[in-house]
Amino acid sequence: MSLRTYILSRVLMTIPMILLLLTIVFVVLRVLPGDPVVSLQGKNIPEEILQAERHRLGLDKPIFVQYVDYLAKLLQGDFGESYIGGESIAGQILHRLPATIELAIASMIVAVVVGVLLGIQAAHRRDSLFDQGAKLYGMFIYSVPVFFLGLVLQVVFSKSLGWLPVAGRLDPLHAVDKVTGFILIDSLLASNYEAFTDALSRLVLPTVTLGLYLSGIFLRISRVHMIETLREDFVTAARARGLKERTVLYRYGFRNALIPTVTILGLQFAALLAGAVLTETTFSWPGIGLYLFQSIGFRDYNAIQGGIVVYALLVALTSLIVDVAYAWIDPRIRY
Amino acid sequence: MSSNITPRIGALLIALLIVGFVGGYYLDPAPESGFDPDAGYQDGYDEGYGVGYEEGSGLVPPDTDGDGIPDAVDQCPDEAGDPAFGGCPVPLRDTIRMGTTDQVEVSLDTAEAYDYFGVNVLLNIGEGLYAIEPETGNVIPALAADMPVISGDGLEYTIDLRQDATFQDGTPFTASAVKFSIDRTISLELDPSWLLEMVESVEVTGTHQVKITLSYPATFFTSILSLWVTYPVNPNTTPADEALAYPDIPDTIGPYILTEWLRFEYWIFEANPEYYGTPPKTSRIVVRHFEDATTLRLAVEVGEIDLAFRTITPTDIEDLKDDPDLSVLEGVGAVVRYLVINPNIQPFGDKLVRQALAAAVDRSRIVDLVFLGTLAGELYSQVPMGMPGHTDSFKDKYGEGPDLDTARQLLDQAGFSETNKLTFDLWYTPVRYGETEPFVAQILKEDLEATGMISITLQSAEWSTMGDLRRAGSMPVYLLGWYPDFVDPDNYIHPFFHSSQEWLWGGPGYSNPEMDDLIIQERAEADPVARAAILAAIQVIMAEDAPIIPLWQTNQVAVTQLGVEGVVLDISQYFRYWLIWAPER
Repeated sequence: MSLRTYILSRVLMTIPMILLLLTIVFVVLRVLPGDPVVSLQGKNIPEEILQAERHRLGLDKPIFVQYVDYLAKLLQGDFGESYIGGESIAGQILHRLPATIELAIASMIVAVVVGVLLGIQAAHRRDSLFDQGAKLYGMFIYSVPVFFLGLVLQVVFSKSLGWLPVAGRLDPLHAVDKVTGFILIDSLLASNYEAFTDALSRLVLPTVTLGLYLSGIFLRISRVHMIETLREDFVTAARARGLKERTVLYRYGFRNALIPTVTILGLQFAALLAGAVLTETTFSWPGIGLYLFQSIGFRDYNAIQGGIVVYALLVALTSLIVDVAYAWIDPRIRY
Repeated sequence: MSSNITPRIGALLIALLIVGFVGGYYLDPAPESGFDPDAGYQDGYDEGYGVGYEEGSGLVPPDTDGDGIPDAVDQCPDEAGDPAFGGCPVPLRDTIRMGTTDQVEVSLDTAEAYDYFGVNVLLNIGEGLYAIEPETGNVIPALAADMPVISGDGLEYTIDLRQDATFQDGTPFTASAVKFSIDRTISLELDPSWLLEMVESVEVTGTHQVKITLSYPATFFTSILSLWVTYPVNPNTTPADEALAYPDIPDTIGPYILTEWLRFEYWIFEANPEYYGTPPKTSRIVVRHFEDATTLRLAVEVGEIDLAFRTITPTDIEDLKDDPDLSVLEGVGAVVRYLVINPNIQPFGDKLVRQALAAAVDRSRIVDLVFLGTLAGELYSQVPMGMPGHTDSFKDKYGEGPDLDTARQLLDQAGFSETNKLTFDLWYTPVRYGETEPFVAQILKEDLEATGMISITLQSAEWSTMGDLRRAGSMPVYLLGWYPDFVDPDNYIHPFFHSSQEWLWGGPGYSNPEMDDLIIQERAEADPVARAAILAAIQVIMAEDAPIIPLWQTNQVAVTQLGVEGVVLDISQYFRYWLIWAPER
């Protein structure tokens, strides 16, 4: 199978996956108790107004008709309107998606760098004090609730040391014209270095929180695979040839231990997005995760569905990229 | 000889006086904080800036701006100022940053907004014919030129309007805008439109005069005309037949313009250059949304925001009181919290059972344990403390603390015993009223079960789910809260206890003809003394029938950086941005 065919088949497989997910979410939302109109209006609107509002939002139609209507709009790229104030869901998602991607990429870098480096060193110094410490760290950091970790970092680096801002993505007064939606890029494009510095400083804590949280799993996986790799004959042969330990470790060992780590990286992206909901909430980071959290509170069906579709697409896309990356990492793999 | 000496002595005295004055001025530095840019500095005489001069002596040095600093040493002689700034006005910061966990929950249309923060945004960008005076709570003219002329039967309000106000696009404010706006709120029939249920018609009787006719006399109608639902909106830019959708904002007349806002993120207010009244003390207010109370607390602690208002948890507030860099400001609250008993679910149709619950609750434990004794007050009537007509009717009937003996007797009369317990679910919602709500529910459960004749299962539901359950009438007993729409006892009585109301905020299905009659009377009674007597009678029946058990009244709390002034926390619950200021750092 050529790479092109493989990618195409993966993309086609993504469609039923998202459709299934969307169907489940659509049905579950409507089966659960909680009327979005009552939730939004808050108080006790007269029955006729309630029904009129339900009619306006299409909630009085049979669930199947609602589903078909929704899918028909979705195929045209229309995520519908929010029940809160009638704002466009697509607009909100486009506004918030860069914030989540920015956070996800930065967190993944922190997770991989910290987790994999610690894992390699722990494997290299197996059963040493460093190894024991690294294992303890791995277990500890993965078991700490991510919002608690965020709170601790806020207290240490914002309150006690005063180094970093507590929350938010950008000071509201540092207006940056939206080009890409990625504030770090847009502020540089506009040569607005004040905004860039502000945005960068606000990115640090949520990134480190989410990155450290995920580094635990990377540490454990990379350590185990590195230990296995270092037992292989080709490593022994490399050492016997008198190669430097550093070369043996990183050129021979690490490259071979990387494949399972990359697999985990793909799988952990879903965990990262789940963690992003809590991290974004803790740091008032205006991404898709926080949008989902806020929308659930309002029973904003369209917003919840839209957010979940985007999450699913992100996971599918990442999974695809990781699979394609295998071939680059390990030439033995063919599609 | 003597004739030559006298002028010299006079000149010497004058010189000494001048030296004394100037020396007094420079040697006695002005206070560094606590100044009010509006107060002027006449106090300067009391602080030694005018040593040697006495008012009326003819020796008072010229002081054109009247700030107590003579023109000779006043660097801004035509503008009242502060000694610390050479007699010039205190330089104020142009931006104040606020933080809140609130958000606009519906829209910013005057005809639709009905959540606390949305309404408060409108309060700062709009204005009604009348307004609630800060601190006093009095109703004062705003876009009206004077107080209304009310017909003898209390049904017609003739109001003259200001002639110098304009909308943001320059459109002059006229009586047509008033009629358009009130008619629009009524015809759109959105959630807050019930507040204008008594309005029969609005008639334009002149370019700057309207006549509003009511369908029944309502003594509090002038207060209603201070509410956001009556704020004039620009007829040229506001659709008459639909509400504005996000992010549109109505063109109103107020101290600020909302220049930018992102739901769930921030709101930026800039001083309205077209505003006819006194400009805001701070030209720009930035309000940031924080998703949780802990982050809000940290943000004010580290100085990322100047002011935090709604909502920091009680324990955090107690902590922050010890922070030397912060001020914790507390003000009277008008938010009441209460337990609703559903008489449609048996055995709660039996008054004895409801009375037993009223006798057994221990308000002091809630106030002491959850609100640490200072952030809330025990409440013995649905009408809050500080409101005209409030009486402690539940205390009068059931005593101050839990009366378990009486509760047991009442339960016994209703057919319950320690072996045949009254068993029910007590519902609460975990987010809407803050993180303290589960603790309150647990305390209530313990208090009521202390009778030995009650068994409670706690149930929680998200706000939207709870709305469904209330509508279905399926919860027997549940915790709710009431944020007032307007400052009048009627707003705490009519929606809860009049049988015509299907608000579900009170016990659904509660009906007492005597109560109905008294409520109609209090609404029409203009004499404050006579009205207080009617309100007292209403509160006696309230305690007797107990379809609702009032529990506590929350105080308002704001946390500010030192130096931030002008925060008014009064019973109106309005948070007026235009009064807040801080000196330049």
